[in-house]
Amino acid sequence: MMSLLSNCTSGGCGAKIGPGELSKVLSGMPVFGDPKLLVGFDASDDAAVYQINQDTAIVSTVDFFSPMVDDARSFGRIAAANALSDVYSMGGTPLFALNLVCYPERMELEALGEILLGGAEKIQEAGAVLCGGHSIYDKEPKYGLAVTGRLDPERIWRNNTPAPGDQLILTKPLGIGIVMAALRGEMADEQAVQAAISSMQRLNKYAAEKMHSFPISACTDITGFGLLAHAREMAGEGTSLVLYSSELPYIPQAYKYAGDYLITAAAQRNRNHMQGFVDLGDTPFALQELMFDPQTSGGLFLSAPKSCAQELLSAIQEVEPQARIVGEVLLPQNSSILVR
Amino acid sequence: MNNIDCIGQVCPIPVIRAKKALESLGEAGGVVTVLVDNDIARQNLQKMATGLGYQSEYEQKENGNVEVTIVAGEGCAVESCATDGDSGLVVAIGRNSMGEGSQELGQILIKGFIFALRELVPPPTHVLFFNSGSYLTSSDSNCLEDLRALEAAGTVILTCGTCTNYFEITEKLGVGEITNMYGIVTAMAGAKRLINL
Repeated sequence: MMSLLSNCTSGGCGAKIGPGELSKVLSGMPVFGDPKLLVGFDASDDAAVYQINQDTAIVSTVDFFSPMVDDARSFGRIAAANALSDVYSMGGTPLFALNLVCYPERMELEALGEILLGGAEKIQEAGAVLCGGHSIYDKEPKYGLAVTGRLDPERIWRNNTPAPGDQLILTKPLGIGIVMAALRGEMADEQAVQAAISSMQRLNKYAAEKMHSFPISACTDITGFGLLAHAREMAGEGTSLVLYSSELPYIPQAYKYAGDYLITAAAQRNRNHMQGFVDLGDTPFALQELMFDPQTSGGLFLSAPKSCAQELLSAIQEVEPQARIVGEVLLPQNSSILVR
Repeated sequence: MNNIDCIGQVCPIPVIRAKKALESLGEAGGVVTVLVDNDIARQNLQKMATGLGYQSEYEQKENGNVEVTIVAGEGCAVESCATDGDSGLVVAIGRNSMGEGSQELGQILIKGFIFALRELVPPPTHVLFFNSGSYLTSSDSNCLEDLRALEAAGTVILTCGTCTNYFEITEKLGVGEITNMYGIVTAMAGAKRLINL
């Protein structure tokens, strides 16, 4: 069977258009002033939220990318888990999903069937329904979902509303991009690859369900922009975030791979983008790379009051054992993000 | 000399190939050149070289390709890093025009100033760009050719990253490196003579 990866120059969220480039384009767009649009693209949030009536809003998102793994079923699961994640990170529950498919005319349809089955598994696991889709021929295969969910408009988890004094929790280990880079370089060990694939396939549903019993100040999910870019978005103008590099969860081999310079283009783009906004202190190079590392289907990154953060962490660790408290929210400092 | 052609290859492949070539040189050391087709790969190669204690430099080639030269081992040095005849001159440029009065004239003057810097022998050790000066190193600048010539002559070209982020031109850097305020202060403090523009 023809390799999925052989058709792709870059896969997963590492292929996202850079955050700087994107905001340049979006700055020229008109602002849509519908009061029912509670969260739009001007907020750089994870998904759009539109109010239907007093106690119901819908949350809508779309995500697709080219393969980062060779196994078609796994790719389908990862792409679907990644697309569904934006609904969870806003505090919503997925209702239904549509497939988005680009596929080369000369590739076997059997692999496409596997991709779609993998996606369908995750939609079922999310408790949502698949209700259609759209497919076209393309040079590189791509797959993803448009997902619609429901949400209590009083309980939206925005990405940029942390409160000074809060603690920050990261639910999944970092290092996905580095392990996939090592795989591309044929230098990854099987255990690391399995850890990365298993993490990418895992729905953020379970961590989000635990979070619903606690007050959440802000939440987002980690994407190809890397932890630090999302931390900066979360900090906004009103706060600074301090991250404790020694507390960061990561796939163990990724630390070694980063030290061996198995590094991605996307991480360097992320590093360039964050220049001037992050004070890295004397953080070792490998940990810096992990914080710039592009994540595909990354974990949730959330801010919660210190009084309940430990209890919330324990609850999340029942479903995401590698979750950690990785930092806290400060009043604005010299730098948007401080790493200590 | 090891020449590695990484045109069409994405990171980490160029870095892995360069690192393997450098390791195969063993104790004796030597020179590895890597041809890549994007500046991010160049940045990753130099990050690896610096991290492992190698000297490196790069040269823009046609079609947007970049040739990165990495030198491993004692006794080998990249030519432009030689300190003989070091001018000790640092030029700090904090604006994209020269003098007060007409902005249009000022922009013609600054272009002429940077062109004239090429004629200095020995060349400046550093040219620093900040605030609106950072437009002069971005890909739209009409000074790129002169700055690249300076760079080829051994001048370190540094642009303030806070400034390029502010103007949203970080991705368009056309010559030299991004630096932070510490880098700017270090270059100024190390200057024998400093021209502030």
